[in-house]
Amino acid sequence: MLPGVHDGPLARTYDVVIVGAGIQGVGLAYELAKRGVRRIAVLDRSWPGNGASGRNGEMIRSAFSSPEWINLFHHSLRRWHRLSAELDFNVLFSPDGYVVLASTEQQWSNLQRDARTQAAHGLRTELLDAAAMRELLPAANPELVRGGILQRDAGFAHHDAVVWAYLRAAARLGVEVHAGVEVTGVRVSGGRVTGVTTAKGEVSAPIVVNAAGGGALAINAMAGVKLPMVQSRLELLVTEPMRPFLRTAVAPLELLGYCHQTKRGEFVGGTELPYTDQSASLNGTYRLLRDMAAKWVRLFPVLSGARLLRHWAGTVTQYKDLAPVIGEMPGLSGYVVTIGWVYGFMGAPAAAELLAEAIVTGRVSPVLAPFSPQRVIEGRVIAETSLVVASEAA
Amino acid sequence: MMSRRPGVGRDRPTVTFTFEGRTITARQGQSIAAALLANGVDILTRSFKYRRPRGYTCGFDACPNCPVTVDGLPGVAACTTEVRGGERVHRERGWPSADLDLLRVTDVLSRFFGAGFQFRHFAKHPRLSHLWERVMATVAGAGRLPTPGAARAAQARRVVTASPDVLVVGGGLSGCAAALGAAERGARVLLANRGPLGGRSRVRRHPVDTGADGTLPACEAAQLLARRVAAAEHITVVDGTVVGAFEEGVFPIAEGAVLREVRPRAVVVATGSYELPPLFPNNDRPGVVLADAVRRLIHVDQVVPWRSAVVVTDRAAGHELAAELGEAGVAVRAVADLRARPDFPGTGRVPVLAGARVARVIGRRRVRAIEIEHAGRRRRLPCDLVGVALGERPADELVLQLRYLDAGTTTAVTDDWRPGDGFSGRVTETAWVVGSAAGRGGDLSHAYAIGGRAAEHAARQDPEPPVSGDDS
Repeated sequence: MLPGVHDGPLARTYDVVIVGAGIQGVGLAYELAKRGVRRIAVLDRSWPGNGASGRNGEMIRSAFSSPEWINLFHHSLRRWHRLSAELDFNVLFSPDGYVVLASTEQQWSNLQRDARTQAAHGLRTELLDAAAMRELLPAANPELVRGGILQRDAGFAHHDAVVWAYLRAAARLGVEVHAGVEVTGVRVSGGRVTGVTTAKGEVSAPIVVNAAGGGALAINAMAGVKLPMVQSRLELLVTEPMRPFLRTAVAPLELLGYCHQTKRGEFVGGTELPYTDQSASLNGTYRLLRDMAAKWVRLFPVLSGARLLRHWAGTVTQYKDLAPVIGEMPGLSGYVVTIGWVYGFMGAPAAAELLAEAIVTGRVSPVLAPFSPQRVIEGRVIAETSLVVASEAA
Repeated sequence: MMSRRPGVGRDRPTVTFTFEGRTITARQGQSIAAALLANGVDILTRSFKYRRPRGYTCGFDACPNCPVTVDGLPGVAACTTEVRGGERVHRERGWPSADLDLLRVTDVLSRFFGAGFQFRHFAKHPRLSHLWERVMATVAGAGRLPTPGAARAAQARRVVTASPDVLVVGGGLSGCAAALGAAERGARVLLANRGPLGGRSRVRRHPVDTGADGTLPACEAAQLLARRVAAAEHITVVDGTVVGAFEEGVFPIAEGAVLREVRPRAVVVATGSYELPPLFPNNDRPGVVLADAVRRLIHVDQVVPWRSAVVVTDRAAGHELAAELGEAGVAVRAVADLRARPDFPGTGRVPVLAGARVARVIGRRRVRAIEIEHAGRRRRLPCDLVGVALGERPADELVLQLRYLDAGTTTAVTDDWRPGDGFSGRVTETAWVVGSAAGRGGDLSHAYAIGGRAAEHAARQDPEPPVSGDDS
């Protein structure tokens, strides 16, 4: 059994049941326990971090274009800087900088506008012109470097370490994380959620949180909740270790990509094709592998000849604006969601804290409020233009 | 006409290359590792984190112990890459060099650097943690980056598509037999293999039943089948690496500057096996060498860089290895047989230590001795080679990938394809596995029959004309 995973039987009653032991679910459990909530169970059909929490680009920034994204993710970035100390576990957060890279005049002018928005919201981001950016990214193909935004105190972290860190800290506070327990039903009575049905029996709880990542729509369906969202597959590749050639994380808009080089020297990069790959499969595809290889070699010619170490796929649930959907479901009291995460790794520390706050006090922070399920029910979108994931709304 | 025995005989012409500024002479066809070993170079790289010395180990590019940089391209396996002549070879890790690594932590600081230390240190000190990371990136980070010229040369320049009836992955004995079996039924076969045909059998001498041609030593059977494959009209041999299986039904093959996208109607997996590494302290010391790697050096490269050896084994193959070493002029001090009652009677010349346990290997930079517990006491046997024959496990990654693709997803696939009583070799609707990858090494009649079945399956598919072309 993994350290931090509960090895006792499932109780019949909890105060909160969280479905999904990814970074959102375990992070939320930790924050709730920290606020004095006693009986918390996190149920996962496989093991902690097996979903997108361990299948992502590990990148962290708050330099977005919309006030909503900036506020939420900047709150998160501040938490990232303190996370290792608070959880007493080094999550290997590297604040080596995050670059949003423009290759075309249009992208460059969008980023100039974004930088003004970011400054207005108190972010210390820097606009780097072509010459300065080429100096920062000497390994990059100069043809793809028109300029960009550098956020110096952003960066990346070790994704498995973050899940372990939350898991350990939550377990120390008495949270029960159950691995290998599949939720098969959500029990509802008179407009209220009353618990869940699992492969290991029924569990009562006045609050049920859907933090099931790529599997979130199935849990919603069990609760009778229908939202216009889809499950989609994202892919990444990892090369064998190479001498450090890239210090910052980079999101090149032109390539619909995101990448960084770990301290071990592995290059980690994902790209997107301009459509949503609606699939529940965790198998990598050749079209993406070829796309990633071609694009990354184009941006960083030193990568040609590097051997592939890993190629993985993970799934997310996404709404058309790619923003998360967080909060209590209107019309179903006690049913809380933290789903629709596409940038979930970087956003989790803030979302976990603010959602725990909302559950305990009943007051939703203005930072969290724009991401409410109500916006999805009404079909509203948050317009965010500096994303590198394909979306129908873009 | 090929010589009866494969190998780089003394009659081969010599070539030279430079190794870290030194000129090294090799015989044409020898591997870079063999040429370096013949010239006293034991340490080929350092381990990633603890900087332990690493050297020639597996002989088949299956472990990470011998990557070198050749003409600016890093990560080239020294054990399987033949010397061409004129190249410049460098080792990749260690400061100032892999030979003398002043940053090694093995001896002095290993207690501080226990496994997983990076998650425990500096959790409360983000600035120190960050500084430490930068130090680690410099000292522990791999020192490998291609030169611009090497990077350009490594890039795939052409994409070629093909849709053969049958794709055979792996050109060892079983892969060759399957390809021949399929071609016999009229199938157009693409046989993908890295390096020369014959696989591990090229270096082995145990008897193999070839059917019509009787029983031959494995290396001769490999030559025979390789000749037949070369002569077969409908078999195309591609020297490249099959990257994997994908849900689009495509098997990309990386073949130097060519990327081949193969969409076959049927697949036969003949990916062979890996030798099992030993588990004892200092099992990674240069001079601890797996059996096939020992054989490759003796029989193919014809380099014998050892004076005295101890063989560690749990099967008859280890005693055969001891005999081969003896023939090659190496003094075999003992065969440490881990079994309490070995089935090998012993020749009397080499002591057999039955029920032995290996305590550790001694030697800071390379093997100097091995310490063995036997009959209630600990014995120290000086030697410069520890030959390891502990059996093999199937190289079944591609089989598992095919199973996961077939299952479509996330849940663990069942083991029902695995070898056992009545195992047919069928992995999915369109794929089969043969040879050591199926736990049936040397069963050539099975491989041949499966090749035929794959051909029949392909013939039943949509009779669309073969697509073959070049979209570069």
